[in-house]
Order: sequence, then C-alpha cells, then structure tokens
Amino acid sequence: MPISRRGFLGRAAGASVAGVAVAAGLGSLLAETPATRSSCLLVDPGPDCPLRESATGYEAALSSSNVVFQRTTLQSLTPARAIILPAAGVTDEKSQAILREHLENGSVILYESAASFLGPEEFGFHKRFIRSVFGLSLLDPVRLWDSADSRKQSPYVDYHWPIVTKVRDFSRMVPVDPGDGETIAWFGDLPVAARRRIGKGTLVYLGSPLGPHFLSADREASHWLRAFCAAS
Amino acid sequence: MKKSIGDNEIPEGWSFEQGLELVKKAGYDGIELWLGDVPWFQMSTTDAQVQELRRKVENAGLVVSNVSTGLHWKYSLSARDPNIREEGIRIVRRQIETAKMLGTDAILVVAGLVTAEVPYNEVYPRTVEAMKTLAPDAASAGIRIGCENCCSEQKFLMGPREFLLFLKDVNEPSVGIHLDVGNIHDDGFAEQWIEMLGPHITRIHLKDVMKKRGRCGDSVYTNIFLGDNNWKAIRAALSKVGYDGWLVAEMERRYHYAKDQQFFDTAAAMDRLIANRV
Repeated sequence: MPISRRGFLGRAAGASVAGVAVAAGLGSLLAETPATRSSCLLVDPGPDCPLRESATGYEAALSSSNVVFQRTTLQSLTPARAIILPAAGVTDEKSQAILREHLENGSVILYESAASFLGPEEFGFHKRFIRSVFGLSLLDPVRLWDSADSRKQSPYVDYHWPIVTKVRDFSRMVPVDPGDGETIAWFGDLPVAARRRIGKGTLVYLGSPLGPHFLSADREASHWLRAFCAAS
Repeated sequence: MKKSIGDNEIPEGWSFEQGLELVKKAGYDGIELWLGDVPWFQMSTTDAQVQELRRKVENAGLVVSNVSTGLHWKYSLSARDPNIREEGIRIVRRQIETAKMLGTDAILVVAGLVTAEVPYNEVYPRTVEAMKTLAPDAASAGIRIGCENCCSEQKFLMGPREFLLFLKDVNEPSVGIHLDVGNIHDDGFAEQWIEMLGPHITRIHLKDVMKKRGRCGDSVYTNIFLGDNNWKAIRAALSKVGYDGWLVAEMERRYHYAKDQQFFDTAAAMDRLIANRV
C-alpha cells in the first residue's frame, strides 16, 4: 500500500510528541552511562547475513564517532539504552521475543533491514515478523536501478529524523507503512524508514541499508548515526 | 619483448586450432586466452580440457601469455550485491587456477566498476578489499593479478597517480596493473602511465585510440599507428622503465574483409614498435 506524503505528514504530526519525549528521556549515548545498563550494543548479524559489510560499517562508524558500544549477539542481549541490528533479515521466534522484551523495557532499537536481499520466502517470513512484533507493514522490496528510467531519478534517501539529511540509496529497499508510528525517511514518494513507540522503548526501522555507506566515508550517513546515538 | 594476441580475436566460425595456426603464422610468440569470452574456454571448462588447450597451444609452437576475462563487467568485484561479488571472486580464482595450468604467470581483471548506481567512494574500498582477499591465492600460485585500466568504461582509477595510490593501498606484490595504452583516450598520455607505473606493470595491451572522437557512436579504437597515441613516446617509456615483457594486441576494431589480414598487419606493427622503428 503506497503512502502519500500528505498521509505521512498527518501521521508524523501525531507521533512527533512521543518522539521528542523519547529523545529527551533517554539522554545521549555520548554521555556517561550507569554501569548496570550498557549504552549501546551492536548485534552481530551472524554468518548467514546477506549484507555483512553493513555490520562492518556500523562498527567502523561507531568507533570513529567515539560512541561507547559493545559487540554482542541477539541471543545474549543485555539491557541497553540503544541496540543496533545491522543488516537484519530472518529472525527466529526466540529472538523476536527478546527484541520485544527489550523494547517493552525501554530500549531504542535501530533495526536496519537487509530484507531486500532475501529470497521471496524469507522475505515473507521477515514481513510477518515485522508486522506481528513491531506493528509495521512492509511492502514488497523495490529494485531501484532496474528500470530504463533509473538514471533520471535522484539516488538519495531523504531522512527527516533525527536530522534532516540525504544519504544514497543502496539499490534495493523495503518500503514501510509506519502504522501509528512515524515515517522518518522517504525515497521519492516511498516511505523507507519508520519510528514507532513500543512499550517504554522505540523501534527505528530502516528499509534502506545505511551500514555500507559508513565504509565509503559518506559524511551524511555518519552524521545521521551520530545524531541517532545522541538522541538515544 | 614478446608478441601476443587474444584468442577472442580469432574470426567467428574458426576453430581454436585454426586460430592458433593463424596466430603462429602471423608471427606471434604467444596467445592470450579469454575466460568466458570464447566457446573453448568457459567457467565450465574442466581442468582436463584446460590441459588440452595448453597442449594445443604448445603443439602450435606458442605459449599462453596471460589469462584475461570480460566476465567482471557482469560480475563486478565492487557490486553491491554480495552474491555478485562472490561470483566475481570465484571467476578470479578460476583465472588463477587456469593460468597456473596453462603455464603463465599473469591474469587480467577488470577490478571495480563505477556506475550511476554504485558510486566511486563505494567501489574503491570494495575493490581494495577484493584484491587483498585474492592476493594470497595469486601469490601462492605464482601468479600476478593485473588490474586493467579501462578508464573510460570503468569510470575508475582515471589517472596514473590515482592507480598508483590504489596499488599502494592494496599493498600486495602479486597485484599490479595490466596497462592498456589504448584505453587512456583524451584524459592523459600512455607514456606517462608507463613511466609512473613501470614496476607494477604485469602485461601491456596494445591498440591505438582516436582522441577527441568521444564515445557517441563509432568506436574510438583503431589499429596500432592509425590513431593518436604517441608511439615514439610509448616506446621510449618502455625502454626507460625497462619493460621487457609481453605486448598483447587487443584490436577492438575488426577488419570487415580478409579478417585474418589483421593478425599479420598487427604483428608487423608490433615488430616495428619492438624494434623501435616508429
């Protein structure tokens, strides 16, 4: 179901109060944090990840931004203010429950989807999971450079939160309907990233991978991640 | 210096054996084999069949100068899709294996492809990483990977200093440049590339280029001595850096008639270049 920009603005207005509250309530990852609660966890996507370079990119970007973070796996997540899942794809039921629990308890989860690189069956599984656990509706993946007109389009995703900036597309993306949440990025008229309150926490879903851009020294992508960390 | 020409130049409809006979008769010392570009040498060609190709080459009185491929235009080492990159790596590894079987020590790779979709700043680190991944395979097989300068088509590593910095970032002795003196077009001078990259040159592709023609419509490439390359400067630069390896003819513009005649004419031009009678 395509979502128009007008529809987005209506939803964004309703969701903005909650978004501000989250940013204000959690403080910044760049500041000192209590020892009992990690500031930021970077989840290893595992060997079957379809886009491992994205995880490498996040690690490089967090390191160069002086963000305090720890590497971990989905199965061994501990309480944290922010949890980053780069290039996430198929997630088993146990992991889904873990993610849900962390959201309920107040974590901010950055869920970068690599689902556009999955096969149809795996994507169907991913779509159902995102719907049931996060309450977001995904549309079918879009290949941005396969049409004859692709050279006439702008190759940039427009982010509106946590900062207004542009980052290159990554050839494929998963449009996302935020439901009662907020669309935070657009590719043309396609909503490709969403933010939604779940329990005491917040989910940030990225339908267009950012991680690989950190490896190619994309300044705006790095600014976006720093702003995310600051807002978490 | 020794003369070679690609087996992809063999006129359509000719067998490999007929082509080898022509190459020998025209006076070449060796032949460049193109993996994936000719019916007799594909990714599916078995080791035994590769050995048979070597036997045919040697029976014709030739040797294999190097193993090249055009497959990386489709399976780019810098593609965003990891599956495509993986296939690109598999192709290079097969080039290395077959080069060793064929008794040569060099392969040609089109490393990195900048497009409207995949920008330069992504292509560069992925290509460096791919070369670092492949270098140990090449080194252990005694093979050198020559990254070709397809400047205009690749939109990547457009100048000699840029190429040199790339090789320094890769920092592997088994990775160098397969320099094509016809690929520099209007953006530089082949002799300067030779001078700056001399020790890193694995092989040299020879063809001429008609500068200032652009790439809209007809090819800018032409036969040796017919275009705008400064062949006296190129020959002098080869002497300056002490290059004494293979010169490999890559005639992209084919004769319309008497197709075998191009082999003879090209060999004669190469002889004059080698003898410094330009």
